[in-house]
Amino acid sequence: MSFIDNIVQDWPWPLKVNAFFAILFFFLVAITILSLVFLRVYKNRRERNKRHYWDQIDTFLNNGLFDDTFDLAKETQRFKASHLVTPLQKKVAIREILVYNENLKGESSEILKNLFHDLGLDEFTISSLTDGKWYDKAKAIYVLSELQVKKAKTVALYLNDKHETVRAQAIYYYIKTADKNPLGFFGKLKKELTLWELIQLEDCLKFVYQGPVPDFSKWLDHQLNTVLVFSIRMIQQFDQYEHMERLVPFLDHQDERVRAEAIKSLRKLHFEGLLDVVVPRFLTESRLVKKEIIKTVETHGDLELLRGLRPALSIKEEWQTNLMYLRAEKRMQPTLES
Amino acid sequence: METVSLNHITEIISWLFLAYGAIVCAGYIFSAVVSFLEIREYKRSNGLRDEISLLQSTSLPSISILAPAYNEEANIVENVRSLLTVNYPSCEIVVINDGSKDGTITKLIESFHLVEDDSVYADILPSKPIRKVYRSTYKSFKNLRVVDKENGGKADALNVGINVSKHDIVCCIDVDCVLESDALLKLIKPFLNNEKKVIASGGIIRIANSCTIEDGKIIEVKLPEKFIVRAQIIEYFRAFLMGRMAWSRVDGLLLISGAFGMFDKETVIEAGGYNTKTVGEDMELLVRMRRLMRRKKVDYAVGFIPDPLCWTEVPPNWTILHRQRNRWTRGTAETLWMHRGMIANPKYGVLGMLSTPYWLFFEWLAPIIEFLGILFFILLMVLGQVNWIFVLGFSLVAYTFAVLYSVTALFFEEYSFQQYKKTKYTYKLVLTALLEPIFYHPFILWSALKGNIDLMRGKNNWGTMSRTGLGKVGDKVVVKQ
Repeated sequence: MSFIDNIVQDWPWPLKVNAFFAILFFFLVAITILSLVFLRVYKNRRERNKRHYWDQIDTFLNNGLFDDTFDLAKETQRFKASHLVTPLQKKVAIREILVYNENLKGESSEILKNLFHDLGLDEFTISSLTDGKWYDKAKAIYVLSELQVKKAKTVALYLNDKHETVRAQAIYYYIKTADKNPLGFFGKLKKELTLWELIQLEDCLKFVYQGPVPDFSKWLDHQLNTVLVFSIRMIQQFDQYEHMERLVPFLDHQDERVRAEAIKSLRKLHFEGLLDVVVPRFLTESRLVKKEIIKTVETHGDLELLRGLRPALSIKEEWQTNLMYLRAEKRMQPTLES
Repeated sequence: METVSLNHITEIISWLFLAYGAIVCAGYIFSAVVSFLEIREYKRSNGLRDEISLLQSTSLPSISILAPAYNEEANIVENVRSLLTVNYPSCEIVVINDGSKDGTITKLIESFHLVEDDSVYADILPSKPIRKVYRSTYKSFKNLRVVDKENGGKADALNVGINVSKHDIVCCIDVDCVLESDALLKLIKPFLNNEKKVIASGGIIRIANSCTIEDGKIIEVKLPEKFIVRAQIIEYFRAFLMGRMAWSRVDGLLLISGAFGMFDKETVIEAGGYNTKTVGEDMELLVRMRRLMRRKKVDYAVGFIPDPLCWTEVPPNWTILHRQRNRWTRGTAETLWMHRGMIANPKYGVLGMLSTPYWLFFEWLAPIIEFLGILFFILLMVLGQVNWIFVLGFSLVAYTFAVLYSVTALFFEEYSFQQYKKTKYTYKLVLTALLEPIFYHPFILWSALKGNIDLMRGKNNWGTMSRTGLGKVGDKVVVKQ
């Protein structure tokens, strides 16, 4: 040490600074490379372990589901004690159960859900939900929703969570686990939904939810405009003609998205008299709504009525509306020169 | 007396260079930390549900994909076929033939059975004249439209594409890019999952050289054997995983790669479309859009997706790489000059006080300062003022920091997406990171300097960017190195 001190003490301080940083960076490079290699080895090993656990749970699930001679109750306890010890083993088991669940229906699906409980994985998931970080909570809600575990009261706490992912998973949970009234959670919502969430809700409602089609008109007096947009759209998509009349007041709603959605839905539901209501207000409407009015005239009106809108398309009018008008005119009269 | 004053001057200059280096290092460290936080949050927020099932939704907004093509005769048909396989419920593909001198348009007409399309289209953004717009008579290509126009450059072609496109969201893409199957879904998500108005979103560009491609999809990611391509892989990791991720987190992103970016058409048009007078049209457009939003006082956002979404071929030799980097430098300089009013202007918030100064000092000026440093070093040598121990010490600091930054980028890739699966690839990339500052960086420095010289000389073209393209190997297709 004194040998190094003897050398260094004669150096001017800038050289000492350079030497310090060169050594520091060198060590950091070495540490980063070692971490990189360690991470690779760790991931490889983790992957190997996962594959091993996958094989174990896979064999167990296959036997449990498809082998009639398999003593399920006894083997479940044995498997739980010997193969579900570490968090990684439990996570792999949950993942595999989710994969099976996605591909199985009916009785097999029920067995899977029971196994999820009997293997103690529901406890593990709920402890993640209550004690975990936000991303653990999101994942836990996702697992509970996929396996239809009824914990509505617990999940309700997260419907207005500050983390968008947690909040979104809580919303999807309700729709995926509901036997009826899948949109009951709307009553608890305090924040507007994003378009992405609306699309996800629609997807869950159409392809995941198995119960009776809800009465969407129940939410037509909701305080959130995005809930109104969703309900109006669903009334049309699920052909709830009986609620058509209830959509008409929304043509006067203060939010242009709600007005546009109401026109779109009424048009698709072939609401008689829609043209009489919307055409006169073309001049004063926003661009978004004008687009829907042009589409409505194209679908239910005639060329003469469409051309009646032309004086309202002033030179100062936005180019999009003009273009839309011209395209509609062209389609209605194909021989017209562009 | 004279020697004393010269010593003083050299000392002051040395200190200035040192201070610059220290600020650059601090900036990089800051960006690495912020990027790590962003990547970690993204990983935690995503991946719960395979959102690909949403591709069956009819409520997703329609997208127009704009793909300019110039002299692409050799690969255009395969490239367009690959684009047609893109997985999205409602999109049109608009290929814009920018006055190619070869048989690009003929090949397109023949292969896709094109006839004239007399649909109405906008003429909002000024551009070179359109010769004809085509559509296919075949149902399987019903989403395809081809525009044949007079040559005006990439920016002009994209402006025509925007004029002709039918949908409100446009996705500008290089025609030879390979997209991941859920690329469009992931790129449109920021537009839909945001309370603010989203004006654009971009993703990470990955390097396709040497990768195995089947039916227009990446099947196996392989590490290229060529050092020049591997060095670019590390460069892309640094730029995307450490640079743009950080800028995205602090809302200071100034560039969405021209190879793959999605835009709100209305905002693009309101901003005036692509600027045909710069070779850095992608950066310039986003800066102009952001200025517009700030001027209009609209609360807006720019999305950035760190997932690998788009794969592209990078220059496999020094000549083409030189042209590309020359162009990038000119594009950066032109954009900064055009928007010089933003630099260090507190009115623009992060953009004014962080992003534009960063681009000025660390992107555009860095090679110039580095070159001046070399000249200063030569001058000191001539004057006999060089302390070789100092030189060695400083060089070691610079080299170790450069390597540290690269290996950190490799670590981020390993932590996040781990696209290069084989362990031997990791070692090769580490080796490349060790060699890159010595064998690759000087060339990039020279290309950037040449770009500035060309800019001063008034050069304003792209230069020929020939690509080796897709070569068929049996049923599979491999992007040649």
